[in-house]
Amino acid sequence: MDNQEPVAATIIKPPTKVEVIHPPTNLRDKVRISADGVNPELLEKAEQIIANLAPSYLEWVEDDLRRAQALLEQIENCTGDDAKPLLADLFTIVHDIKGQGGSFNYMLMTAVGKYLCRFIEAVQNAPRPSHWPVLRVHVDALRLIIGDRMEGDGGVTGDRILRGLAATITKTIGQIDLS
Amino acid sequence: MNEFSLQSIRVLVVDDNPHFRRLLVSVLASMGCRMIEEAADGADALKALGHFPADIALVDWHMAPMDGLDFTRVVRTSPDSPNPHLPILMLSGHTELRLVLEARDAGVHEFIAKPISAKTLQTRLQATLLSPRPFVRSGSYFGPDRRRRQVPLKGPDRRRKA
Repeated sequence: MDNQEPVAATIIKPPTKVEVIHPPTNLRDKVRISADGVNPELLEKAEQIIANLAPSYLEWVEDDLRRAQALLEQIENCTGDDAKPLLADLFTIVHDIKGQGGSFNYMLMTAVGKYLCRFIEAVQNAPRPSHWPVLRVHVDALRLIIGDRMEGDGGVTGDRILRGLAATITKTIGQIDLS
Repeated sequence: MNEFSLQSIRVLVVDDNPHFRRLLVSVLASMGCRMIEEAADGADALKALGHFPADIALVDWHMAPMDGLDFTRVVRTSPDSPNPHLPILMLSGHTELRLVLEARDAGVHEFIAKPISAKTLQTRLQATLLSPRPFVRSGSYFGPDRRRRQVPLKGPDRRRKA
C-alpha cells in the first residue's frame, strides 16, 4: 500500500514579461551643478524667497480661514448627511492650510490642520451634529494661531492646543490615528 | 564654481492652489529656472504639455476635475501622451504609506510631502534630473523603476533590455 501523502497540485504561472527601458535623456547636460552637489548659498537664497513670501502667506491663510469659517457656519445649520458636500469643501481648504503652514514656519497650523483633516475623514460618511463642536474648536484654534502669529510649533501653548484637540476628538468619536 | 542651475530646464507646475504655485515658482526661479508653465489641474496640465515640452513636472495630488494621480496615469499610458517618460514629482499633504505606494504605482518618480522646504525640493529635483531611473514595462505597470535598492537576484534576470 502506498503510504505517501497526496501532493497538492502546484500551478506554475508563466513568468510575466518585464521590459527595462532606458529613455533617451539629456537632462544631466541641461542642469548645471557643482561637484559637491548641494549649494548652501543657493539653498539660503531659496529659503529667503520663502521667508519673503511670509506676509503674503498670512493674507492667503486669513482668506482661507474666512472661507472655512463661512463653511463651518453653514455646517452648524445641518442635521447630518446634508453636511457632506460642505465637509468635502472644508476638507479641501484645511488640506491646503495643512500643506502650506510648515513652509512658512507655521508648523502648528500644519499640525492642527492634520488633526482636522483626520477628523473629517473619520466622520465624512456619517456626519452628525455632535461633530460640529469638534470642527468649531479646530477652526478656532487655526484662527488663534494666525491671529496671535504663533510661529513654529507654538511651544508650550502649541503643545497644550494639540493635546486639547486630540482629547476632544477622542471624547467625541473615540481614538483615531492622528499621525 | 559652486552652482546648481535649472536655467535650461522646463518645469511644469500643476497645483489648484494659486498660492502654492506661487511658492513653487518663486523657489524654482531662485534656482535659475526661467521656463515655467503653470496649470491648475491635471486636464489643464495635459493641455499645457501640448505646447510646452516640459523636462519635469511638479504635480499636486488633490485637484479637480483631474487629480495628480490620474494625470500621471494618462501621461504614462495614454497613446496620445506627449512624453510617457516625463519625470513627475508628486507633492501632497496625503502622506499615509498606502497613498504614497499608490502614487508610486501610478508611475511618479518622487513623492514630496507638504509642507515643503527649499532644501527638500532641491534635493529631489537634483536626484531626479541627475540620476535618471530606467523605466519598467510589465503586465500591470509602466513607469520608473520602483526599486530603489539594487538587490542581487536569487535566480536568473528575466527582464528584457530595450
